[in-house]
Amino acid sequence: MKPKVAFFSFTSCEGCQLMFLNLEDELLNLLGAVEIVKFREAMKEVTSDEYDVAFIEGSITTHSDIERIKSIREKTKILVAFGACATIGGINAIKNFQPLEDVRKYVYGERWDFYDTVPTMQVDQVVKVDAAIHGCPVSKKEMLEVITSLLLGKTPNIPDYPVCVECKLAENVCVFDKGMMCLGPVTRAGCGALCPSYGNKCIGCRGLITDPNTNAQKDLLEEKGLSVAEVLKEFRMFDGLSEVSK
Amino acid sequence: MKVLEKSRMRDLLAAIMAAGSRLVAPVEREGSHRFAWVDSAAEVRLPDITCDNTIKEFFFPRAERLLTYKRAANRVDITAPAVSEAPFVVFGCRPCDAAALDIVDRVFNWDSPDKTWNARREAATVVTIACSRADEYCFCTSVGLAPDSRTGSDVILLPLESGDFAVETVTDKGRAFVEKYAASLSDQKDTAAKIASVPQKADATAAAKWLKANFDSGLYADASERCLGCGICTYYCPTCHCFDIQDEADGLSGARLKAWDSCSFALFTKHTSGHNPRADRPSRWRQRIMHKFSYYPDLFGVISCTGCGRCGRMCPVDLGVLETLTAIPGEDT
Amino acid sequence: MTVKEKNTPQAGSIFQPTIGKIVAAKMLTAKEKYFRVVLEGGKPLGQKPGQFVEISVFGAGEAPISICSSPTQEDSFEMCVRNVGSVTNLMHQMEAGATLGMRGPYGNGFDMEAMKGHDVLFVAGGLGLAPARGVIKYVLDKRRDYGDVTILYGARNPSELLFKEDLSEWEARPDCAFHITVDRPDDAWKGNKGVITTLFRHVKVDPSKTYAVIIGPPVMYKYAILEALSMGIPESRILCSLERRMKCGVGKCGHCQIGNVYVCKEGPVFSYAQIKRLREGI
Repeated sequence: MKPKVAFFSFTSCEGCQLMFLNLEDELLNLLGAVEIVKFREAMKEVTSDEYDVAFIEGSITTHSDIERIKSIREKTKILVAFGACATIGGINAIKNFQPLEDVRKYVYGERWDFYDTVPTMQVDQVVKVDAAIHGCPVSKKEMLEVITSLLLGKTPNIPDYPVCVECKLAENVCVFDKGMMCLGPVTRAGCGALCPSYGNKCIGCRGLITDPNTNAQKDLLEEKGLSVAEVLKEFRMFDGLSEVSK
Repeated sequence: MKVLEKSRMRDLLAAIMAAGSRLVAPVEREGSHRFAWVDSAAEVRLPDITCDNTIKEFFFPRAERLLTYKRAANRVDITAPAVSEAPFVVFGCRPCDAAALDIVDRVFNWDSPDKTWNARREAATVVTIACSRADEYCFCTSVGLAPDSRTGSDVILLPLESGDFAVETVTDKGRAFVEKYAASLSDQKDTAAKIASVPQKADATAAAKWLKANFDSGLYADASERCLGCGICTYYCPTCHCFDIQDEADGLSGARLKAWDSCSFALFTKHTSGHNPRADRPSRWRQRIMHKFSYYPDLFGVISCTGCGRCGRMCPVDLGVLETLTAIPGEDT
Repeated sequence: MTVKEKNTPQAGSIFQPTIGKIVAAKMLTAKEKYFRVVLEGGKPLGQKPGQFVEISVFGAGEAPISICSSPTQEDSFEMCVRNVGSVTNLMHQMEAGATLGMRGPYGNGFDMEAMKGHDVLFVAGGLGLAPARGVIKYVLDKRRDYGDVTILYGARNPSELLFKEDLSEWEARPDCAFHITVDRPDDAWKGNKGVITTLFRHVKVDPSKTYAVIIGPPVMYKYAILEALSMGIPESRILCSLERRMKCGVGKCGHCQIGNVYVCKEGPVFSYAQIKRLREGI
């Protein structure tokens, strides 16, 4: 029996689900190996309410989110955090640095008290996560690595070294040498240093590596001319839930 | 003596390629120089110092296929093509690049020789250019080498005032090279080579002794306070040779790859049981320093550093091994 | 790390595995599974007790696994594998008939010649019994070559005891002393309670002619070595097998390096005299 796969969307732009559909060539292969039973962005009907693997896109930001993710966890064998919002809180965590009431007023206007909210959480702050696919959006290569590994029963090979490694292998000139700021030295690789390869800085969308030397990174950014507030801003864009942003 | 005139360098390179040999030489990209496979002599641009990358990747690729496999029920077929390597010429590397080959030869050849490394070493003729310039990161003289060291080279080109190069053969392979391409060279009377002066900044041999006696030194914690753990220094190091072996699966078939790894990464030594003998950054920095200046000389009789300076030059926080070497107290300890 | 690869040839390389067939497999505990493997062409592995192999599960990679059988058993070799990573997880799904790849044997193993004529005190903790079993079986198979044999074995709880048939055999044998303990006994457990070092009080050795063979988790070494030292066994005759993240097995890749020692090549067996010099050793 093919494993049943379901996609669930929480607070997010749903762009990562789109990345899954963008697999195109590999998608047909994949559909030979798994059965997708729920995928709002791709199919109208829900073909089964039972599933073995749940892909969770988005962060947890309301009380009802908390209940919903818990009930998914109870039903699924494997739960995959899918994309930066789910794995590290991502952009959604920016609101955690402002009073929640202000945020609600700003977003919902007059009827703000009608809408529930809690500080943004990444999925594994609420339930156990079995595998994570990082990035904003997720990368095709890593999605396939995680899905293939889950099917084979092996641990996915997710890099735990910084973007600098892939950036150097891509033979890019260092972003700092170009006079720009960069979070590459503390950010988890796996994207192939996409942004620096196209002339941008790394904004840390894949989260921090294990044991990042964030103090050295802060010093480096300050040395390159950023104020403490600006340094924090760099980190808080995606990594608001990490220790360094506090 | 034989001289390669500056204006005829491209003729020589064209002749090498016309003879069917592949060529690795410096090229320029976005203002930085890199060693790369070149298709035409016109691409070649010599840098003042050395290239950003090292030549090790042409002998010990970043990732290479060890085997491919196909699985079926209760059987597996492995395919691994024969070890062979077509001849190639490495042109325009510096003495610190060439010397590294001789150093890494040793670890790849104790007891169980790495046949692919050796095949590539045999296939390659290394034509080195001695340095007429050095920058503040260069420290070859601190590790027992010099801007005109011959180690690891088959031919060395010594820069002359005129901009031409005196051609000196170092090995039999080098002699064959000079004979083969004699038409691209000319004869000139002896002229003095213009070699850079690289001040000695540390004494790596004396340092080895101190390192052994001071395993618990605070030096490592000081240095690694700045270390981002990005691993750049190990990938840019001409002698770093640690690697990982991993499978890339695609359903029932796939490949096993050997790929560069780095002792700067926390996962490098982590056991499956969770125990990690080098769990913190200072212990990993110590490993890098000790491996180069104490363990490697113990095992193989040479320092595993050529003073190329890339670790400092390429580091985002300007932290190279030289900084630790120079921080080692002098003889009184 | 993964990067785009260049296709280059590798036949006859040191990284080429031999194919082996699993001829027997069974769960020993909830986490550990036993395998007996016959190599292609039925050739003996030719290992020394204490050596290890790199096992390939194609698609997941390689993992270093210690050999738990004695070289006196020539037609096949045995392993006891804990399910902790990708390779071992997939091995746990394999049954008799399945194929896997093998490189090795690697490492120095125990110097069984030097140990001849001596008494041997085995101290095995947890999964450390797997490599220790190969040495114990060898010594028991060549019983007359060795003096008194004492085996101490400690496990966390009774359900984690490995090789129960061997344990009863050793218990019953008149030519070896056997003591066992568990840290956390269940109601049915009648034997010793406590960590392995509590077993040392049952043991009397003549330190002038005894080798101690200590294999267990990193935390056990410190205490077990202290016990052996306090018995008067000299540092050079206290032998330990160290766990490291062996990858290549041939002293090149750097993962298992401690000081100037590549554990995969010069180890995993070290005397305490050697370990003392190896910082980061245990």
